[in-house]
Amino acid sequence: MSIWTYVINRAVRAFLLILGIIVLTFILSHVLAPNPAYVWAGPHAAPSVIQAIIREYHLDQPIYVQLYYYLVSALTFNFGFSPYFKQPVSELIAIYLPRTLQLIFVAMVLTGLIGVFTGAFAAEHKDKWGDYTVKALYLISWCMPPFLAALLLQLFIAYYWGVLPPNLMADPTLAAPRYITGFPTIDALIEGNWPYFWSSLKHLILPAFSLALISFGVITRITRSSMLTALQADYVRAAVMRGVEKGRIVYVHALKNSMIPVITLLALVFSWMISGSVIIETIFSYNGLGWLLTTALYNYDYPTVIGCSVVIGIAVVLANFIADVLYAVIDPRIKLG
Amino acid sequence: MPYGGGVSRTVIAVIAIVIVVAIVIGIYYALTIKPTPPKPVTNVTKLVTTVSCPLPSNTSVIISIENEPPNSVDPAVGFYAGEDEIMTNVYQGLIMFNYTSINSFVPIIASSWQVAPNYTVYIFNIRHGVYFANGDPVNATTFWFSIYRVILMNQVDASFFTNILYNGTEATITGYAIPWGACHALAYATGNSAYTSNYTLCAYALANVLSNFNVYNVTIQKLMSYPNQAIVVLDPYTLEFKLLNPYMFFLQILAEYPASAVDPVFVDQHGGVVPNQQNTYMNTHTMGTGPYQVVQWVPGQMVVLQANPNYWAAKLPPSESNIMLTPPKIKTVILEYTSSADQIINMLESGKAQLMGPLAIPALPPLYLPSLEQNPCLRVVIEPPSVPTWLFLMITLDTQKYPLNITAVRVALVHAINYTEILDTVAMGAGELYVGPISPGMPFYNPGNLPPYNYDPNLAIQILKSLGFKLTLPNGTVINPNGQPLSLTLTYVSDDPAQVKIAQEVQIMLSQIGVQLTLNPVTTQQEENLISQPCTAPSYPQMLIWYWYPSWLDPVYQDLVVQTNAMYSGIAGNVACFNNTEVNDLTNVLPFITNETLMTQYVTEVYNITYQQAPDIWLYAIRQYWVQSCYVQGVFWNPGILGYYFPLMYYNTTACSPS
Repeated sequence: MSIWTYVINRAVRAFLLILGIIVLTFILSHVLAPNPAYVWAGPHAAPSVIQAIIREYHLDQPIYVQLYYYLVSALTFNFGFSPYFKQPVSELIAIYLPRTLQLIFVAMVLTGLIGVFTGAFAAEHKDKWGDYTVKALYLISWCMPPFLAALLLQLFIAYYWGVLPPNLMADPTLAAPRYITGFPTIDALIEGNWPYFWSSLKHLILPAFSLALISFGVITRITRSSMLTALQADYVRAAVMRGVEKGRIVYVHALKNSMIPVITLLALVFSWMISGSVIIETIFSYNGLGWLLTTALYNYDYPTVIGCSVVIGIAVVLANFIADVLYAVIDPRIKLG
Repeated sequence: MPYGGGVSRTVIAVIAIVIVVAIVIGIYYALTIKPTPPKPVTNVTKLVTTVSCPLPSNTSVIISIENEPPNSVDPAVGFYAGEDEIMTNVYQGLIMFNYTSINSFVPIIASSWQVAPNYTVYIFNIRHGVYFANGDPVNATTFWFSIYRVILMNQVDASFFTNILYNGTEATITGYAIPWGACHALAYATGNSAYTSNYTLCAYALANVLSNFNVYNVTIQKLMSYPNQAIVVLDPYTLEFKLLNPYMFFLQILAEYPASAVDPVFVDQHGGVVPNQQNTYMNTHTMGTGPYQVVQWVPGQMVVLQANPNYWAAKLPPSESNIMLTPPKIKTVILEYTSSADQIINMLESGKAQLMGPLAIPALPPLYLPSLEQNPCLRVVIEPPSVPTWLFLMITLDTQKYPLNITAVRVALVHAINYTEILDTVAMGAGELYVGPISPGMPFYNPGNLPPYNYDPNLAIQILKSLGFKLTLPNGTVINPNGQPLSLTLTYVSDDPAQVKIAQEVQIMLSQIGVQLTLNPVTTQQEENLISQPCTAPSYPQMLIWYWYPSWLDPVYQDLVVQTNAMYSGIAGNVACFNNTEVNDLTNVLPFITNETLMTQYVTEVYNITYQQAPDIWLYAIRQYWVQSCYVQGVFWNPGILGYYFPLMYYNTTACSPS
């Protein structure tokens, strides 16, 4: 199978998956609260206001009719209007998604760096103190519930020691940058708003580290296993015999060849981080897509819930898709299809 | 690469155990030992120790830490506490409540007004020289535009004008909320009589007028001056309101933000007006005449208000001004939002925030107040009993389903509650007992001076015994062993610590009289979803802990009528689904009675009936409270203003007295 056939095949499957996400989320949302007009309008709204909402969202129609109206607009990326946030859902996603992506990007870099180098370190010191220490660390972080890790970090590092700020995206007394890319840190950089830039970086550390802490373990494990295999390879033995420095052998030659499974895994890590960010964002008052989704869910804001679910689904599918394609590109031994 | 060697498994196990134990000890330490807030510096060398609280680094900035980020600050859409607070400081109407008074008003954009004796006509004279922050002028046509816009958009704030400036029943049937007489006015101005019979045509034509609002257009002038409609522009600086029904409390509505002046030019430049639709730009952008303007909005995180540099009232001579027109002393207000109670406390105790908000519905329940009072740099302010309460708490009883459809059962329950204990342990001094459905301090509160229900478990037992219920008392006594046990379910919001505590205490109290109470925790939205069903639906809450407050300060209509009239059954206010013919007859006419004596009489009758029928257990009315820095002055509460009014606040650097 050629790479293009493979790509098209995967794209079609991804589309069907996204469609399934929309339908499933729509149905589940409506089972949860068939007529949320009263919740959206609140207890003090006049009957005419409630009727207007019912008409606008077709809430008096059968569910399949509502689904039809929704699908027609969703397929043109019009996710409707949020009755709770009072903005078009697509605009809300454009505001909140970049914040989460910024957080996840930093967390993934941290995860990758920590995971890869601890894995390589563990492989280098197989069955010695270094190996067991690394194993203990990632097992503890892996077992720890995400909220506990985040709360402990916040408590000690922010509240007790005061080293880093405990919450928010940046110092609220600083002027926020204009919306250019939507990534607050990058927008501050583009504008030359250095106080905000450094503040937002500082505020990113704890939540990103919390996310990384619960995710790096699997990278460490895979890297370690992969490294152990690589370290048994003939080219490594040859390098040893040629007198190449040990560190260079481990961290340059062997590590490079161990990265293939790690790349695949990073796509999965991205998926976990998207879901893990919901809790982390709430704990650190870092209002990104996770916060948007949680708040929308609590307020029966269907359009926003479905819009967020679609976006997250697309992100996860895309991440896996890219990983699959990269895997095939990086390793010519892999057969497609 | 050869590797070898290893560590014994025993050693590894010991190391792992040591690490786990260290973590457990660390968590225990973290949980048991509270971090001390930044201590004020004490000078121990002097005979009298002094405490100095840290001043904010910038005294031209005040930070309020709040838990309700706004979603809309459009006076036609915004409704909730966090939104009210912003709109109150950015927009202005014709009048405003006079400082802490709920009965008197001061002129804001109006210079004076007259009220017809029959309360059907209100005439306002508009000040000259009022303008928006962008310099656009304000006159009578601005209010014609602004209020018609609110009605036509038919969002939650249109409710303020239902059956007063537009016909609510007609709007429900036709799908369009149109100010009364506006269609005829359009027909008159344009010569097209189709507007009087086609509501869709009329609504969109009116929207078109508002979206292309040109006060110099002759047709629009004819439209605005047409005499038989809700609002008539008599001349550029005189406005006449003609009400559908006589209404004594119309000034209370006009003092609220839905009656604010909104710049027509600004609106038309950004989306205009569409029937039944919100203007998304206006949801997050403001253009008012008020003392502040929104200069920064980070969704979900922060809103920054800056003093309006073009504030028209700053130029008023003292003889024409009043306290509510005072220009801001603190130039910048930062409203930060977080959902975490711990973060709110931390921000206050560290001095990073000087206020806790929103004011109308406090972010922290009273349970937190005692610990905050320990901090000498903070002031916990609880309004005294002389100040009218606004928010009150009750347990509603579903009067449409067995066994609570039996009046005697409800009467037994109201006497089974130890109100004083709930007041002491939950309200923590920020509450007072009351007899509903109006809250204490409000006009027409309990005109017959009925006493609050008393705690009398023996009476409760006697009543239930006489009804034949089987009661198993805590001491083992079984009353009516062959009877049917009485089991009830109490629904409450699980993320409100006050409601959780009340639920637990009520469960214990009812067990004392042999009633088994099952607790049903839900989220706020689940709660609203449950009570938006028909009253006889199986999942409609049997008993529900419920807050209520009036949308505007008409306690008769907004408290008494909506909580007791069957037309408002369910989420609209009458959560107990109380349906009494006599009460319905009285409350159908009550809102539009203009004779105070007659109103008092009717209210007394409704009170007597509901007191005897007991559809609700009145727990306590909340005395408004807030937490502020000791340096901040000028903070006050008025239930009609709904939020902090920042222009009157300032820092007094000597206010934190030595202790």
